[in-house]
Amino acid sequence: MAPIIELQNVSRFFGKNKEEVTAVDDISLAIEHGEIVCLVGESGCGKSTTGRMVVDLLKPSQGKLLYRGQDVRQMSRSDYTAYRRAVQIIHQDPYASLNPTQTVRQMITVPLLRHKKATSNADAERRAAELLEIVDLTPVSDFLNKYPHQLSGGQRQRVSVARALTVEPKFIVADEAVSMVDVSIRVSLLNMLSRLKSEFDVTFLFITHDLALAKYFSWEGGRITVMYLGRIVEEGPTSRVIADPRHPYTQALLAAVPEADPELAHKKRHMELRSAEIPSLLALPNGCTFHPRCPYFVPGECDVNVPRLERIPEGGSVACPVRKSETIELLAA
Amino acid sequence: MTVNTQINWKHDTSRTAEIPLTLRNVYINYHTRKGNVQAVRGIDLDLYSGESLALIGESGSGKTTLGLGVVRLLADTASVEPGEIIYRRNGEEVDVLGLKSGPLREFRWRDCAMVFQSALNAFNPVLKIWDQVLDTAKAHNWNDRKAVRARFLDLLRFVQLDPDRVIDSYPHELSGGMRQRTLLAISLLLDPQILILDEPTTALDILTQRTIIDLLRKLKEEQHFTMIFISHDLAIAAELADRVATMYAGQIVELGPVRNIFYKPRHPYTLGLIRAVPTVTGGFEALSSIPGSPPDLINLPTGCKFHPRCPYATERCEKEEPGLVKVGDKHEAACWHTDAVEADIAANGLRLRKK
Amino acid sequence: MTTQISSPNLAVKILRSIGTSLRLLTYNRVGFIGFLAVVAIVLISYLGPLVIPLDTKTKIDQIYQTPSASHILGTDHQGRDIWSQIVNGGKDVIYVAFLAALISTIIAVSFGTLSAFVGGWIDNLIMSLTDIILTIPQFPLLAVLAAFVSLNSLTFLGVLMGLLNWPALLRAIRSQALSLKQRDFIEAARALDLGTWHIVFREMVPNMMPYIIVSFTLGMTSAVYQQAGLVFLGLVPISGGNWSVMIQLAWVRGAIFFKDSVWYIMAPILAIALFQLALITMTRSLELVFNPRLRSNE
Repeated sequence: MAPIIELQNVSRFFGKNKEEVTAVDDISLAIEHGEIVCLVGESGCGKSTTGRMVVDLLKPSQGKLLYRGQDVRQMSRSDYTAYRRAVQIIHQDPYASLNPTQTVRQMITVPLLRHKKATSNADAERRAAELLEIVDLTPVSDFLNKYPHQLSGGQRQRVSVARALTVEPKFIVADEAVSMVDVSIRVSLLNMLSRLKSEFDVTFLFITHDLALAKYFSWEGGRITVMYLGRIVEEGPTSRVIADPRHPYTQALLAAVPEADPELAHKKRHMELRSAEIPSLLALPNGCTFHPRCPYFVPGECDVNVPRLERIPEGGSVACPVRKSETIELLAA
Repeated sequence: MTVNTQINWKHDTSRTAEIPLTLRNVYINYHTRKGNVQAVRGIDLDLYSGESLALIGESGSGKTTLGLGVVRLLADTASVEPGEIIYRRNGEEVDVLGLKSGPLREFRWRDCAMVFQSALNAFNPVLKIWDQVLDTAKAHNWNDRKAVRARFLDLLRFVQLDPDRVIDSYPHELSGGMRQRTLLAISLLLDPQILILDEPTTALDILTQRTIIDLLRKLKEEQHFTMIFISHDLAIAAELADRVATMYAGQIVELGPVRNIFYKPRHPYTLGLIRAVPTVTGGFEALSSIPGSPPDLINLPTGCKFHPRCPYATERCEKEEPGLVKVGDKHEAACWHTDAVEADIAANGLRLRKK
Repeated sequence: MTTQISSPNLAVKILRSIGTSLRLLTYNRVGFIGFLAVVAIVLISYLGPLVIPLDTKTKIDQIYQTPSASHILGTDHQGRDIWSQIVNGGKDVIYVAFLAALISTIIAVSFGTLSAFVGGWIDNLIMSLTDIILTIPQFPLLAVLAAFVSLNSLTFLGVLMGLLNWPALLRAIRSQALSLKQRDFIEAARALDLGTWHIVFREMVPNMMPYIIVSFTLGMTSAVYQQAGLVFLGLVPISGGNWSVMIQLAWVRGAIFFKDSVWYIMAPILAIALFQLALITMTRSLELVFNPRLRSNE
């Protein structure tokens, strides 16, 4: 069967002429039904742009978006409507993702009624209560009449999820969906999302800058895709990418992540980069975009050739011909 | 990172008192239309010279309010009542809450500098960095331009920035990480005795976070700065703190050496936080979150403020509020059931095993 | 249709909502005074005439009297009571201003939001039209129009002013809507396929309500001045008791040349000024009433 979502050689540019910025540069990504894929990278790497293109909130400048093998741009109206509803997004900022002038009841019953997922107001009401229960907002009667500002960040994110579930989606892009929520609440949100995968057969694209969250969310059978300045530099099964990163950028990230454990924090080996500054998107380096910072920089190779993603036997692929077979130790003995 | 880090300045530790800062029974309230927000309730704390103390807690725990209270930068709607903040230098004691505006400004830069979370807002967007530095120096009657410049260039080198590039830039020309480091350099200009850093790495990228953390570690280890970190991020505490204070609902609920807090927590909230935060390196750990939501600071729960979310709560917790009691060497926790926490860790491990 | 679970019936809801609105109005004292003044002026203008009929009888022996117990604002050039003219002269002014502001606001909000949300050629078309209308000098246009069509109907005058007054507001609404469009909840509504109509009128417009209401009120004030100006110049031959007509009559009858007639000319001017001041100060409170955060914190 065709992947549920596939990006084929997709690029996205912003601005015009001299001010043109390449946010996403020729990436390809196929996500199979039932998979969990984490898109990881720092700000400006193009991960959110990619997510918004998957939901068709943003059109690719080049390349194609396929839903179940069909090009979204060439679909019939009814197929596009089916795609539109099947693919939903959960935004990062719980304070911006809900309309401040609407109650929870309105936010959830309106899509239900509009898309005939409920036959009457009473039915919509009943269904809304079910959805709120699914996202653990109980007792439901406490929440239906609430406005967003009366809810905590975690509760708002749950409302966002319940709202997305009204259209019975098959694919959810979670764009930093738990990053702005208090740490003590994050895990329960993640567990709730995991449950949607098993109970409602939802496939996830989980976008985050936080490697620890990506690891936790996709540990069982998931994949991590690492982006840097608009390109995919490494991808593979989560356990492999976390334990045996191959691209120097992935290695640098893993080495740099602060750990919530004093012993681990002191045992970690840090990687010295050649430069601390991220190049401007307006003037991307030639060849591998990481070469100005990379400690393994090979002149004449890295600053000339754009590295391609190559498969490695341990699983996944790496866009670094120089280091793709080299393993490093992240912890000092 | 091959920038020259040879520096010609040293943090002056000679005027440092043994306990430069003491908070006694500090309460801070915000007065709102809806009622009194009890942001900080009864903090007692001694800060020791040369130590780095992390205040950790989630939104609404009062950690930032407490930091702002120490440097007297609270909003107009807030008041410290009651409470005492005592600052010590060169053998004299200063009542911070009683300072008039002139001495207060001195105090904020020379004695106790605060570095804010949002580095962009801290700068005036239409002034070059150097002009802002000069203004700061002049405001403290330091008019020797050459000396100021030399010192600032040194500081920029210390924070691993290219001094010639940064000094003539406008704030918007610098990246987030560069701004954060510049701000740090400016706050060190008058060599304060205490540095308070509010969420120093939040909203920065991972690689930038790492440079800031390494820099702060250098300040701590090489220059012996006395620092307070305010953060929701346990990792900051694990990376940098000597001592950690966990805050919940405006109170310190646990206080102790960093290793005790991370490996032998005795307050259910601290344990809950540790079990909720994943690590990257090492194997997979199951995580659990703390049920419920942070308390309403206007209508606080009775008894222990954590009891509605606490797995060990009993009837006693609903009625009586526990105070900090000694649970180990220099380690205190405010909980009626520290034994239950200890037993839980003994039975299930500190971090939960994978199911 | 069944009633909704745990929601009170409609009448109770409406009463509660009115109660909340009134309470929020009092949050800003100056704004609340403005609100009370607007209510008072509207009541006097619409109910007053029932009690105080317009004095139309010419009394040659009583011209240009200063205020007294029988004529609290004195009399005009024909000896008629000025207070009765003020009481009877507000209705038309308020009606025309309200109509003009209503029409221009509806046009500006609908097309401004649509323009921003849909974008593309629709946006270009709407904005070009806006720019064209914006560049037409309105007063001369109305003057020219008055020469061809007879502007003696109040409704016609109000509609005409409404049809000319929307461009500036449309531009402001459009730029607000453009920034709203970037908000996550609008994106979520797009992803949920809720339709353009729903997104524009149920998601975006409610978030601009405070701004729209304030703009509407300010639109009324400018419509008041506009009609006063037109009448004063004699371009709209509207007759009857009307504050604007009073000023014009006072002017053409040479009232400014008589010391005793100062009451005659000042009364309508003050009435208009007072009404305008009340409207403008009222906007301070109106913003609070439409703030969902304040509304639901009861």
